[in-house]
Amino acid sequence: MSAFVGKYADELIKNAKYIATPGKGILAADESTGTIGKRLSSINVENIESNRQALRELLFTSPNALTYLSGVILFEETLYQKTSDGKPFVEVLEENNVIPGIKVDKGTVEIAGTNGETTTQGFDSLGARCQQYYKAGARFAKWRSVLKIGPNEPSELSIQQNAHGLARYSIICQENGLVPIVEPEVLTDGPHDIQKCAAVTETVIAAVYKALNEHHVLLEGTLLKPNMATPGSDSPKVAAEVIAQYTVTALRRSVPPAVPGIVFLSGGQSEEEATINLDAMNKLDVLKPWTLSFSFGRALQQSTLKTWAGKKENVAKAQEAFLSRCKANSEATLGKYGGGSAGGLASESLFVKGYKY
Amino acid sequence: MSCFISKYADELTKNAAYIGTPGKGILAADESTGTIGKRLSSINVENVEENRRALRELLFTAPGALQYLSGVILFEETLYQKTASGKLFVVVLKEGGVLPGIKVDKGTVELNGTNGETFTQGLDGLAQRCQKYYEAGARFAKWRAVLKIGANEPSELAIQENANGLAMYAAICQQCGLVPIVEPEILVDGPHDIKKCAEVTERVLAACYKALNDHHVMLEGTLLKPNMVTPGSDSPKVAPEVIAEYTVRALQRTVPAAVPAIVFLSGGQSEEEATLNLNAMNKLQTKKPWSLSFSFGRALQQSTLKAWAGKEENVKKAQDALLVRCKANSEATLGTYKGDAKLGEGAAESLHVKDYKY
Repeated sequence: MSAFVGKYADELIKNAKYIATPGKGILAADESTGTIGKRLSSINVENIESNRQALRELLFTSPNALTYLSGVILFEETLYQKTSDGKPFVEVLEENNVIPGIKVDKGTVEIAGTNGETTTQGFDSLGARCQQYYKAGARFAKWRSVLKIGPNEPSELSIQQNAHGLARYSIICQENGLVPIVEPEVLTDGPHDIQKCAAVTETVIAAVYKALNEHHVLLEGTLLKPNMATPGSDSPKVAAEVIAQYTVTALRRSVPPAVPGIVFLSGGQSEEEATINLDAMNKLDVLKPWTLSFSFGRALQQSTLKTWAGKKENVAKAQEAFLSRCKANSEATLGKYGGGSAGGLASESLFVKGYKY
Repeated sequence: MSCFISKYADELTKNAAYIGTPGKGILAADESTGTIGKRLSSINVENVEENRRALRELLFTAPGALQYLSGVILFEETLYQKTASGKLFVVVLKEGGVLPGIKVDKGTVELNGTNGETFTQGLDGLAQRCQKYYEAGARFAKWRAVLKIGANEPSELAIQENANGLAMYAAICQQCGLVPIVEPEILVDGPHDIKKCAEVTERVLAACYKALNDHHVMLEGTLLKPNMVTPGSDSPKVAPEVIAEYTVRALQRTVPAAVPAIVFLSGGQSEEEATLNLNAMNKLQTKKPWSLSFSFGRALQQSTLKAWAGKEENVKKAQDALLVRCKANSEATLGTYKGDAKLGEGAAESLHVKDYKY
């Protein structure tokens, strides 16, 4: 094959397929220490290890929520943390048939000579780190590349750099038993319309799959985490059905059928928006050879966070809020979401201009 | 969109989808004058216009055959020819629910500095020619790029040049209302095994779809005409189920779902082999978001040609032979072929010609 078929091939294929199970999706709980600090400070909670541990314990022990999840992406610190009873988080997840994943990139840096475009770091000792994470129980990884839309952006340089970065990261993961989630996020920032976003998304994803082919990545053992095709943040909103149409068309034009699942990022969308858009895509009556699901961070945790506010007495209520979002998104992956799980918090936009992870 | 939406967009999408109708496929009858000459001489028939016309009339008026075809690819001369009673071939086809197509490339030339690798000519004045063909009734086009497997082949140069040529041709066709069939044929010649063929096919197809994306081609209004993934001609044969598995997997890894149909070339396969392999692919239980059909030249005409032998009194026999192959391949697109087609003379005969020049 042109794909590298190593000793983990069967396992990679099996795990990727499982993560793509209809009715399930991914909780992205891999906020770095800096980023989770911003979330905690928004609810006046101190950014110390025990609070970070408490938040993740709240999420992972939410009664019945894990049924709706096939994977959780963790930050390195969290991979080694335990519940207050001393049970490793990884075990809690595994016992509930949720595959632990790990963020392996080390953030973005600017590409000199461009207008604020970036490339992603994290290659140094990546293979060795992946082996460590595999030993600790991780079975998939995530690496976020970022592109932006502007008069001259994304540039060919940025597209190539990020596509090849994703491809190199992917093959290293596969060599070490981790299913790579390929995430080429095209930011929503800007005044452009949905057609522009769709065109850029198609171009970027096409470049990504060309690079994956060149690097011998086994597509059956990968997942894609793209943005939805939407109008820019400074442009008027459109209906979910329109977003669904443009997004699915773009993906049908660029994502080979061998990829088992596509797990959308939520970007700056509110919890409810993200769910309704995902639902609209799954209701669309057109042939989709991959499952369409979620890999949401903010769009799964926002109301949970606000409800918790760092207080022990709020944990049960916060866990209910979390269960509610998980269930709603599970239904959305089946095109069966009936709406109505939106509290006021769930409709709040989570867009932050020039969002830095 | 990243693709260019021409004024013909809806028509292109509709026609491409129609060609991919399950149960139907394409008859590739676009042999150039030189190539058809070789076929005619193999049955001792003189290569004159009247004989070329007579052969094509035999094919297009074969009773019951057209229902199994969604398209026929023609050579330029044939686009303007008529039946003996004076009816234009394109009208005969249209009345039979068959879209006329047209070969638009002008053959291959060698790439300097390579080991016999080629690229395909035909871009000069292509838009004007396509417009003329559209006016004459053509609704799809075909352009054959050729690559080979060798110690150092296909080279990156050959892959890029041929992918780029296909993409430019495809973009021009769409602007002129013709659905482009994208044909990146990897020759079967060689001692390589099926794994090598699969690897090369995946690499070539990935390059093609990147080029089509770069050139803003609307995939919903295109078709793919690839080789099946098989062992090389000097390698032991394998079962149709193996060919099916490797072929479909290569396509799953490279061909976006927006492409409505994949119409295989037969290469040097015998009529029966080609049908059995296509059938095996359609029986395979796996993700296939495009329909899998045929665009066969030799593998549809071989026994018909032999039965005809250029004689008027053999026309009916020859037309029966064509009907047999059309029906068999139609069933193969549905995965229902039982392998029981009455084999005409030569139906099991390999049609491989080493280093085949079109």
